[in-house]
Amino acid sequence: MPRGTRAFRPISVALFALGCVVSPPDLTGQSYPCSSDQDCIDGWVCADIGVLGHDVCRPRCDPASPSSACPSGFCTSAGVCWDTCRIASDGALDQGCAPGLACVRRNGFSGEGLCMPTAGCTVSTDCTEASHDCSNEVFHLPSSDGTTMFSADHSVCIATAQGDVRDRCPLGYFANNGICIPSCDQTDARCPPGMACVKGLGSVLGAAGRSACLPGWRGLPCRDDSECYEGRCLALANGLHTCSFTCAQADAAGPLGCDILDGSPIAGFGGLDFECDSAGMCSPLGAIGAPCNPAMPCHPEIACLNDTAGVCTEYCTTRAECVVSTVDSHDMRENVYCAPITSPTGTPLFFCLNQRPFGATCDIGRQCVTGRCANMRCVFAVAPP
Amino acid sequence: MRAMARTLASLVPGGLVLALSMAIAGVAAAQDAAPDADIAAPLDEVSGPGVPSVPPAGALATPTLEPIAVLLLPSGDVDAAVADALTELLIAAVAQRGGATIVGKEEFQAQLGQGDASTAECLESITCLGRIGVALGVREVIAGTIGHHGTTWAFALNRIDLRTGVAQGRVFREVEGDLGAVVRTLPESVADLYIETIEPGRLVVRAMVEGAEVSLDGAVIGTIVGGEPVRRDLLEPGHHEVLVRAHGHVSYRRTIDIEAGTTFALEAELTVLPHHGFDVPVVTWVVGGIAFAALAGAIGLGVSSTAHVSADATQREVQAFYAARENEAIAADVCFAVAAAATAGAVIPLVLAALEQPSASDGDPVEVSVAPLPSGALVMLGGTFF
Repeated sequence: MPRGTRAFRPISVALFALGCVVSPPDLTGQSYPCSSDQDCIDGWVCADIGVLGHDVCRPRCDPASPSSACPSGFCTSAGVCWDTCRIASDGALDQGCAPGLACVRRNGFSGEGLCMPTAGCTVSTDCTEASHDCSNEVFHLPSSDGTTMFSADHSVCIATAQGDVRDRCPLGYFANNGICIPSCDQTDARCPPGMACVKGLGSVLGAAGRSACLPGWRGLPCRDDSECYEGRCLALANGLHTCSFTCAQADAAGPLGCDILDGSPIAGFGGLDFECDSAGMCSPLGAIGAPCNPAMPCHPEIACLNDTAGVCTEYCTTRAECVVSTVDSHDMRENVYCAPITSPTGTPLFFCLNQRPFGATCDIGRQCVTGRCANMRCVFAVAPP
Repeated sequence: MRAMARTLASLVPGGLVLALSMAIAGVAAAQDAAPDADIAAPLDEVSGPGVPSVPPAGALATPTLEPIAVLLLPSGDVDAAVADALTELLIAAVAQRGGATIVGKEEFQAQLGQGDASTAECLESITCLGRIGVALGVREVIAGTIGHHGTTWAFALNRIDLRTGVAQGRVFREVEGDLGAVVRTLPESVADLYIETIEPGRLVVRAMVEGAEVSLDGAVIGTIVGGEPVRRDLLEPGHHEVLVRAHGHVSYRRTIDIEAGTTFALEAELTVLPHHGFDVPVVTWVVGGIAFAALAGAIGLGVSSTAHVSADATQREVQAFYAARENEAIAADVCFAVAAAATAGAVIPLVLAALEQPSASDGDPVEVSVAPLPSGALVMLGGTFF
C-alpha cells in the first residue's frame, strides 16, 4: 500500500471525531433578566414582576385568546404567559414549577398559582433575603391549615420596613403603618400575583402620588384574574374590571345576593357596597370613607375626594349629612361621622368619613365605631360581656 | 669473551683497565649464562680489534645479521685508551641486543685512514659516512663521544642509518662519579638508542564538490571550501575511516592506512545521486497551504465555538451568542472538511511524485504522516526536497 493511501485513514478518523457541534442552552427553560422587549427573543416579552425581582423574558401571548400562545400557562392582561402551578389544600404542590421558579398563589380560594422567578414563602422564615418577610404575614393573611376554604400559603417575600419607626422602605415600596407596601406607580406596573393595584391610595396613606399593591380582595380593580386573590377579574357593566363574583354566584351563596359581598377591602377605610349590575356582575360602589379612583367609583351621591386618588366623601357640617340613604348596608351607611380636617391654608374643613372598627388607631371617640378612643385605639365604651 | 677482556687489559693500563675488563667480563658472563641460543649467538659474532672474527656456527649463520659500526671517540682530556675500552664495552652492549655483526673502531678508522679527529669530522658528514658504510658493508653506525669535566662524565651516542643519513636514535648522558659509573651507565644507554619513535601521519583530503564535509573516524574534521583540501596533521599511524559527504551526492567512504611520518593524500570522488529526492509539486505547496490555513481556521473557529456566554447576558444576547457560535461551529466543520480535502489534494500529488521517482539508495526518504490531535490533525512531511 502506498504511503499516501495509508495516511488517509487517520485523516478520516480525525475528521469524523472533530465535527464541531454547539449545544445552546434552552432559551425557554430558564429566566433571563431584561430591561425591555428588545432583550428577549422573538415571541417573548420583557415581563414586569414589580418588586419581586428583575424583569424577565416570558413568552408573549394574546390575552384575548390565551389558549393560542399560552396553552398550558396563564396569559396576563399585559400579554405575558406565565407557567402555572397548583397548590393542594394542605399546601403541597399538585403541579410544581421548573427549577428556579417558585409557585406563587394567585387566589386564596383556589389552588391556582403562577411560576415566578422570585423567592416564595409561606412563613417569613422562608425568606432568606435580608429584611424580607412573607407577604401573607405582612398583610395579616392566614396561612393554610387545611381546614378553611381560604389559604394564603405560597406567598412572596417582600421588604420589611426599616428605621426606628419603621418608616423606610426600599425602592419600589412605600412605608405605611410600619409595613412596606409594594407600589405600582407606573401605568403598566404589575403587582405580585394575587395583589391588585389601587391607584393613588398613597395619597390618603401619607405617600402622595403613590399607588399600592394590596391583596386582591373583592371590589379592588384588576386587569386579569392573577390580580384577584378573591373572586375573578370581571368586566362590569360600567366598563371597569373588578375582582368580584357574578350575581349568579352570589345568589347561590345566599339570599343576600351581591350584598353578601359588602364590606371594606382595606382595613380602616370605608366599605364597598356591591350591587348586581346589568352585566350580571356584583359591582362595587364606594360608601363614605371608601378608597376611590377612576377604577373604584363611589356611590353616585358621594364624591371622590381629589377625584383620582382619595376617598369617597362629602363636605359636611353635621353627621346626618354623611348618611347616604342609597347605601343599603346598614353599617356602611350608619358608621360615619363628620370629621374636621385642617386644610393646608389653615381653614377648617369638614368631610364625611367612616368610623373605624375596634382596635383601629384613633384620635377621638367619634372616629370609632365603638364611640371611644383610648390610648389612640378604638375601644369599647363598656367592656363587652 | 675473556680473550676480548685480555685484549682490553693490554690496551688500558692500571686499575681503570682492570675495572673495564671486569665490566666487559661481566657482560660476557651474562651472555654465556643466557639460555637462549638466539641471544647468545650474536655475542659469538662480535668482532673487533684484537678479537678474531669467529664464523657463526650452524643456524647462527643467517643472512639477517647486518654489520653495525660502533665507535666511541674521546673528547677533551679523555684518554683515547679509555675511549677505546669504552668502545669495546659499547660493542659488547650492542652485540648483546643481537641481530648484527659489529665493526669496530679500528676497522672504521682503517677505512677512513685517519685518526679520531678525522673520524669525528666524518661522522658529521653523511657523504663520508655513506662512503665508509659502503666500504665496510654496514647499514648503520653507532658513534659517540665521551668527555670528562671534573667528576662529571658525559657521553653522547648516535645511531645513524647510513642509507638515509637519519639519526634513528640519540642518547646523551651525564654521569657523576668515576669511570666505573660510566661503565655501568654506558651499556644501559644502548637500549635507549633503539627506542622506536613513532612519527605521526598526515591526511589531506581533496574533493571537487564545494561544501563537501569530511569526517575522520566519525568526527567531522573540515569542509571543502574554495577547492582547498581538508588537512589533518598528527595522525596516529594505522587504519582510519574517511567519510566525505555532500548534498545530493553519494557519500564517499574509505578506510585508509596511514604510515608513520607519511602524508596520505586522498582524492574523494563524489558522484551525483541519481534522482535523489524529488520536486514537491507546486500544487502540493499551494493546496497544502490552503489545507494548513483551513485547519488553522477550523481549529480557531472550533475553539471559539466552545465559548460560554456571560452570566448576565440577556435572552436575546444568549440567542445571538449561541447563534454565532453555531455559525462558527459550522464554519469550523466546513474548514475541517476543506482542510481534509486540501490535505488529500496536497498529499496525492506528493505521493505520486514520490512514486514516479526511483528511490535513492543513499538518500533520505520522503515521509508523510498524519497524526490526529484532540482539536485537529497534524500533517508531517519529512525528508529532503529539491
